[in-house]
Parts: sequence; C-alpha cells; structure tokens
Amino acid sequence: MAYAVTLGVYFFTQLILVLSANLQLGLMGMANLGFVLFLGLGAYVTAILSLGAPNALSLQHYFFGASLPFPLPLLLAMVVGAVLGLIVGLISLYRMRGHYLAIVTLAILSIVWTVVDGFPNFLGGENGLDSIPQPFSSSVTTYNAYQWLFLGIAAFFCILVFWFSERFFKSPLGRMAKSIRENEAAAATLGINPFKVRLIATVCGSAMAALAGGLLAEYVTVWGMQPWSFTEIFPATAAMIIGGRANNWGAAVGTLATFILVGQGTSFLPGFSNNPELSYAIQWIIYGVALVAFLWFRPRGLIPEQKSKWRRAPAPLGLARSR
Amino acid sequence: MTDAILSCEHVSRSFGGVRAVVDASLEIERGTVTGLIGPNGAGKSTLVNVISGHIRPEDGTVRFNGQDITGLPPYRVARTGLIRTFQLSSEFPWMTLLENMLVAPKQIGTSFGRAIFNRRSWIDEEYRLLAKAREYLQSFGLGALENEYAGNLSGGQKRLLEIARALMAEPEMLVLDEPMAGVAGVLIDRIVDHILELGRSGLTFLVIEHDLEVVDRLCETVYAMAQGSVLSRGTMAELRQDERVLEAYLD
Repeated sequence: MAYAVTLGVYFFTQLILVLSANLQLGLMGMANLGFVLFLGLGAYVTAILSLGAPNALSLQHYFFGASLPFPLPLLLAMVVGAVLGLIVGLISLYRMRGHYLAIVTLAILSIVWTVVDGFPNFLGGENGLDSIPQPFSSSVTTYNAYQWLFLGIAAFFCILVFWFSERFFKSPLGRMAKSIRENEAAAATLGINPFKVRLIATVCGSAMAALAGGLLAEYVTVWGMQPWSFTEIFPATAAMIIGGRANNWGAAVGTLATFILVGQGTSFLPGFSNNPELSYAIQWIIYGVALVAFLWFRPRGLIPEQKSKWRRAPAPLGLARSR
Repeated sequence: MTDAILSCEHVSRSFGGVRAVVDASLEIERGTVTGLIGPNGAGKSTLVNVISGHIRPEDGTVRFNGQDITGLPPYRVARTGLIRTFQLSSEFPWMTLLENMLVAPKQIGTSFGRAIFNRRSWIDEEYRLLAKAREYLQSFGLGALENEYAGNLSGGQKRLLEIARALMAEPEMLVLDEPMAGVAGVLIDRIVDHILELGRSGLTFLVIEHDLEVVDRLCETVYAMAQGSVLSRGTMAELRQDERVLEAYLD
C-alpha cells in the first residue's frame, strides 16, 4: 500500500513537470528543452531555504541556515524559477525558433548542470544535498501516515497547476499562444506580439517545473545531479507526446503511461526484479519505441488536442454588431 | 490626391546585389480599391513586406493615417489598423475556423491576469466576438464549416477565411498579396464580390494580383511596378496603353 502511495506522489510531481512541457512545447510549439533545468533549480532553492543551520555531524555546505516553514520554500522556488525563466527567455526567445531554440536551451541546461557538478562545495555536486526536511514531518508519527500526507500535498499542488493550465489553454491567451504555434507570421500580422506570449509561457512553465523539483526534493529528502540531467527531458517529452500534445488530460494519461506504467512497471516483469540495471535499460527501449510508434501512427497522442467549445447558445444573427 | 491613407515615399531595399525595390513611391486614397501589378520579380511582395513591417527598408518612409510606421515590427503595424494577407495561404491549420476568427480581434481576455484569474471579465466579450465571427463566416459561405480544422479547407476557402479573419481585426485597410493565387472559377468571382462590397462600405484595399482581368474588375486605380520601380499609375485601360508597362510585361 505504501508503495502505491509513493507512486501517487511520484505521479503528481511528474505531472506538474509534464504540464510545464505541455504549456511550452505542446501549446506554444516552443522547442524549449530547458524545462528540466528549472526542475533542478526549484529543488535546490527549496533545499537551501529549508535545510536550516548545520550541526557538528553535517557533512554538507549550508547556505544561510534558512529554515522557512512550508510552503514558503516551494513558493520562493517558483519565484526564482519564474525570474530565471524570464532571463533565459529574454536571452533565447528573441531571435531563436525551432531547432535553434532547442539547441540553445539544451546548452544552457548543460552549462548550469556542469557548473553545479563541477563545484561540489557549492550545491554538493555529485553527492548532492541530503537531509532536506519534509514539511509537517514532526507532527505525523508513522511512516505510512506521512506518505498519505505528502500525497495530499502533492495532489493539492498538482491540481492547482492543472487548473492553471486549463485556464491558460482555454482562454483567449491560450488561443493566441496556439496561433503562434500554427503560423507565427500570420499571428503577428493580426497584432499579436509573439515574443511576449512566448515569454509568458516560458515564465509560467519555468515556475511550474521549479515547483515539481521542490516537491520532489522535499519528498525524497535528497537531491543530486541525476534527476535533472538532460536525459530527463526525454521521458517528460515522451509523456506529453504519447498522451497528446496541448491537452492537459493527455498529459496526465501520458504521465501515467510513461512514468508509472513503464517507469515502475518494468521492475515487476519476471526476471527483472533483481536486476535494476536491466529494467532501467528496458524502460528506455520502451520509451524510444513508444515515442517513434506514436509519432508514426498516432502523432496527436492518446487524447488529442480538443477543438474549442462554447457552451452558451449562439446569439441570433444580426445581434452581434448591436453592442 | 486628397486623402491618402497609406503613402510610401522613396522606399528602397536590396538583398545582396539584387535591388528588389528602388525608390518606390505610391499613395493609396482612403476608401478605394487600388491594384498593384507587375511581372514576377517586380518587387511587389517586397514592397508589401516593407509596408507590413516584415522587411525594413534601407531608405524611404511609410506613412499610414499620417503616422510614420517605417520599420515598426509587424504586430505594431497591424495594431495601427493595417492588416495584410500572404501570398501563401496562412490559416492556422490545426485550429477550427471559429478559433481562427477569434485570434484576430483585440480582446481583454488575452492579458495574463484576466485570462487565468478573472474569466468573468472577458467571457461576455468572448461570446460577442463569437457571434460576430459566425456572422462573418456565414456571409463568406463558410458557416457550415465553423468547427472544421482550417487545414482541411480548399485553397479558395482558405483565402476567404483569411479575408474574413482579417476583418475580425477591424482594419482600416487591407493589403491582399495575391488573393487569387491557387483559387479557381466560381470562388474567384466570390472573392471579387466580397472585396467590392467591402470597398463600397468604406474599407481601403491594396490588392497585389497577377490576373489582370481580376484587377480590371476590382480597381479603379492601379500601380504598375517593374524591376523594383513604380512605373506608372492609372486605370487598367490606361496602363494597357502604356508602353513602359507593356515592355515590362513582354520582357
């Protein structure tokens, strides 16, 4: 049972990351591959702001001994994510599109990752940070009860982000974003400033990814280099494409399929349970095959993007111009 | 000319060694349908791109409604009320016709705060625009297709949609870059009728077109370009007598 709850936490946090990708890559068609950077960033900011002061036994570098109460570290991680998203956006979005944007955002991710990895005294490098405090852990005594509590926290934030995405997608702003994806030049000749809309999506997406990172760090209580290395772009993007680009429910189904079904399910295959390396390899093979198969046979995903619907009855013709 | 809504003064632009537009000047009178003709490579599209802000001129100025719009980015040119269409159809393929239409108007629901947190503030406007979009689609004969993806339309229907979409932006002037390209038969007549009707209602048009017969039906005043320069201005009948224009077309 505890395992199922852990899967639930994992699902909700990863879904936040996939929703971030869905907003930027799915709705806007921006090849911003740097969203994983903000996952790492959010985790580090959350850790720094909640680690507290070092004691005699601690082996890691602490920053200013901040130990802010929940949910302040997470919220501040989002703010930092948004600000840095804005900076990365200003650098990369003004002139770059398509492949170029993908390469530049990938490069920015690589640079930051390498710097963090290369300075172990700064954020722990390879060893990472540990003993990241869990919110409310002192008030819940049993391990199982705490798992449920954290599931609630993760679900709460995830639903909030989901609601935000739905609002974004189904507003005139989302429609504008979509039109830029479809034909940027035509959108611009209708008075839309593509740069501004891209920037908005980048800032929102970065804050969302930072939140996902912060939650993961608080749940796992350790954070290192692996969870935000550039290979992590792949499952998140695969989840979005398999589920259905520019559809938030598709993102949820895709997250379930990739992160939970494939990501966890392979270790249950007979003969794989004692061999984590093999099951890891099989995971990646399945991701790759599934991605190619979907792009080939069902490029719009399991739950494709929906056409807009307007619920109110259409006004009788002729009334429209009267107001 | 009394009331010029758009004027280009001594506009020049070259690409590498190619002088695409050379010292081109023209004036479009408010409320008219004006044509711009010329053989391939005459510089028509480059001039239109300069007007719409897609290409910066090296020299010269573009004025719209008395305002200097030279070198403004395309979205800011559009916001002054000057909307253009493209030679290649530029519908938003994976959006329905209604969605295509609703991208165009200026609306309060596109601001971030309102879009997310204050749906009430824009939802009435949304339905008002929706009704207007339906009305335009009806009048352009696309009403039955309102929930179809624009990418599934025929070439001619896409052109109609583009003009209808441009109207949603409430422009003062429309610049149509080869609106008949890839359109055949009955649909040409329909597009011509729509342009003439909108022209009568006061909208100003600049139409770039290869099909001289269509230009004849649409425009009273026509500019002829060749090799980057504006050769002459007149009615289509006058231009047919103009030796320089004939020469350019025969080359």
